[in-house]
Amino acid sequence: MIEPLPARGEDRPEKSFEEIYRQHFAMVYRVCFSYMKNAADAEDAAADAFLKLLKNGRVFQSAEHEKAWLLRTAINTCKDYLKHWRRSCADIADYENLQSASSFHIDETLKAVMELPAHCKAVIYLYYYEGYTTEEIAGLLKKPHATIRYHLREARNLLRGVLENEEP
Amino acid sequence: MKNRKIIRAFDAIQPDKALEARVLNKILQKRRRKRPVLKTAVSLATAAVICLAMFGAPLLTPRADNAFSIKAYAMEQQTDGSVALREVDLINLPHVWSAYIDDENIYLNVRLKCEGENIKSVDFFTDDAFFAKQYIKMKNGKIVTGNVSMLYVGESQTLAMYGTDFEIVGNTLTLDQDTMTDDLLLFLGTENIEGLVPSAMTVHAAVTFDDGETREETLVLDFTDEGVGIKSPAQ
Repeated sequence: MIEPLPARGEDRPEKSFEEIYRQHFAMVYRVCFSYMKNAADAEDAAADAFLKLLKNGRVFQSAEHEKAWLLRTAINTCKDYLKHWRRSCADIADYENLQSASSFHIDETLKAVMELPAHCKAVIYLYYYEGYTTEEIAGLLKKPHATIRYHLREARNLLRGVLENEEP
Repeated sequence: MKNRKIIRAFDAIQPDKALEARVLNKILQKRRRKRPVLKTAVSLATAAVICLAMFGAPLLTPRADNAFSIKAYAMEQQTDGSVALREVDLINLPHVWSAYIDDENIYLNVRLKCEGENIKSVDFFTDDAFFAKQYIKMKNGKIVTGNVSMLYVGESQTLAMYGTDFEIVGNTLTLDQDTMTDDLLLFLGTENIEGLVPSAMTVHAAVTFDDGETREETLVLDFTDEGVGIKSPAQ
């Protein structure tokens, strides 16, 4: 059994690490997979992101704060992995091989997203999948709003054709 | 603004329960991973004094049955060279904590002892750090000096470190009445990140009594006041 995180907050009920893990694992894994492009590395990155939570013993002000912290940590963990590893990521052109290893269906859209530069991936995921505004993304990633808008514009250009028929 | 194509694309990445369990297992394994034993360090040349935190107070929780308490002890050298254990009043008495800092780790001197009735053993566990040990060489009740670098701190000259070799135990430590000996110095260790000592560390203690009953307590050691840190020459 995994013991509760140290409770230091006053107004929020204590939530165990396991509860937080089960609630957000899919989200964290999804982000890590989009960065790492293969299941094995995504598992390691996701594990490290949650390990930081476990070691940190953080108590969150709200459910949104908890989610934002995990997203940011997962993204930063992946970026650290990609910066420091002396290896090349799986060539996304071999996504068929990737698909059989991961057992996920990787369509053209996901392939295109996974080919984006790292700084664009987070914005695309948060904007189009999680539904955050650019201002919220700026707060979450602790970057200037103008930078986020620029990255979004850049990502849209790169994904031209894929993102046709956006929802109004 | 959500996009259906992107949502569909990411929704396809749906980890199953087996994957979820596997990653959780990885997390727990990483958390339990022990660090390698530290190589022998060179002898001290100079001391760099770092003013940092005050030693925190232990949690004393008297209970009616199977009572126990966690106390901090200091080993003091007497005028005749012998050593004596003195219980440290961490609440009312100003106390200077101490640390040894080398290339890899920071070792904070703590001396925790569990006292009470019918105690069979104590399991200490920390997420914040790892435990490390030193054993003081004694002869005829006196500390063997020689070429050993020792650190004494505080007005009462408390022995805080004996040499620069540490036996790294890991983040759990089990002690019983036979192994909690007077020649044992305990440390909480953490990675040396820019030579900064953490502001606080949490230690959990699970006591097992002779009748099988167990009790748990938690200590938060506060290092936010004055302290003394000794760096190895490489630092």
